[in-house]
Amino acid sequence: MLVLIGVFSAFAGVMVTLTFTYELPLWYPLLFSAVASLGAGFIAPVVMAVVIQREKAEGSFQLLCALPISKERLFFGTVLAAVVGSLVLWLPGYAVAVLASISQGVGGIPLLITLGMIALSLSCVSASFVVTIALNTSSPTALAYVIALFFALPQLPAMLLLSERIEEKLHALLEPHLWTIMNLVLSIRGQLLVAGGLLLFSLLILFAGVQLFSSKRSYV
Amino acid sequence: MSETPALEIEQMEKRYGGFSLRVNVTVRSGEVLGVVGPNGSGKTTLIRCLLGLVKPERGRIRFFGLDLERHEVAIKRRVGFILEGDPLFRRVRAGDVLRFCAGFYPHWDWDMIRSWMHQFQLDGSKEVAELSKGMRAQLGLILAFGSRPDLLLLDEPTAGLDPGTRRRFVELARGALADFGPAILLTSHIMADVEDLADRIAFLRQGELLLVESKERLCQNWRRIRGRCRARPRLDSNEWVAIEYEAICGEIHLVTSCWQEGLLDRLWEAGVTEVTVQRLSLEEIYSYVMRPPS
Repeated sequence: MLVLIGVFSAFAGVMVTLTFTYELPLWYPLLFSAVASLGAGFIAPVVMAVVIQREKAEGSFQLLCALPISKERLFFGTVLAAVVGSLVLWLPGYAVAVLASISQGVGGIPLLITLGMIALSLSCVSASFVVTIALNTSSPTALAYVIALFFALPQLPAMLLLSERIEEKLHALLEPHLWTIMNLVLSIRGQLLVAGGLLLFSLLILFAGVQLFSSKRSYV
Repeated sequence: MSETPALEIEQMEKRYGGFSLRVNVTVRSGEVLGVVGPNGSGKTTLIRCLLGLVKPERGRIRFFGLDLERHEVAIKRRVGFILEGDPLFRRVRAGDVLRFCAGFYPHWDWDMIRSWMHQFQLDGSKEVAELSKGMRAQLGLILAFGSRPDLLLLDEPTAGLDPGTRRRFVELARGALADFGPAILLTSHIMADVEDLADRIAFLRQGELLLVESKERLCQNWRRIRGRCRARPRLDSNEWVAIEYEAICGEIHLVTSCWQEGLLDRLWEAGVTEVTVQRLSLEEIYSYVMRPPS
């Protein structure tokens, strides 16, 4: 995790220097920020899942479970660590974009807010899902399959769109409301709605996860 | 010393496939109970059940009068433990492991820990993975005793240690018993460990507690009797754990777990002469208790 933070911070430093020194166009740091934010949102919980599996394999996870800490606190503490980890990871990239926007005008700030909310929501969803699975399964193979499935699922709608019949039907269904939908998605209210929905989804996963974790019959 | 037992295990049962662990035992406050048994007898499973790492299918576990299910965190604050194989955080420095664990316990004794680390010459700046097996065991020992617990659950604490380190462990455990008097539940398949520390000994075989007895009573009640007789005598099998008769030389070896002077009269009546009576070591008692029923 520290290595990843170091690499991201170094990139951030380079981007800031380039942006200020050569007055790079705004989309440079924005693109970097987008990639860094979304990537980190997914990577940090996966790194945490790998660490949990390693501790389970080495036996030190049972030491953690034997300490005077409730299973609920252990579960939420781990999820929080994954969310904080992903925040720490994407903050350098996000800082680059903020600094670049301030230096080159305020045009990019609404986009940055959208990006920040997307990254934060995705961090929460992926952290809650991946860490829930990592804490509740002892098999690294099962964990890998579930994580792969989790990341592959969002691609399903895109795959469906490849089918012409579905695309036509969807087009016909959405066309009258396209402007309304676009306006909603681009407005702060719409973004808050989407982010709220994602956070609610995270909470549902966490609720199910903590129930499963605290009622497990074995932690070794 | 408190009247409430440090640990009460009532009709606990834990099943793993075909294996079933059934335990019903109490550890009084300040008492040391040694649980002995061969590998696979259920010693580690017992410790795991007590630490909430695995949940038993039935039964009740109470520490200091509190139910484990309902008061797990409050109980664990008063319990120190050593897990089998010292599973510590391998990539963390020894000092950081101690600082991390210190945060969970209200009576963490840094003075005692510093003194023990000095005695063990344990380098807190080294990562756990860099420590030798003996050093890791010592770190585990410090973690277990560092919170000055009311009860210690020690799973094979001396397994794989050299005799010097093992002796030091026994001395430290004795020192802790004299200092703050914790109750101890100690599992081992090395009888000498248990012999040095335990007040009572529980014999566990294939998940069943065969016998729970104080060390004094074991030494008092178990005897080996040698004698001579012309033919195999007729004896009450309830009074004898083992009867070995060698017809060629007319020698008879008997082992009893309920020694009393009256047994000699019954042997005399059965025709056994030249009788000598010997005490058994705990190691020998262990081998007789663990012997599969014929």
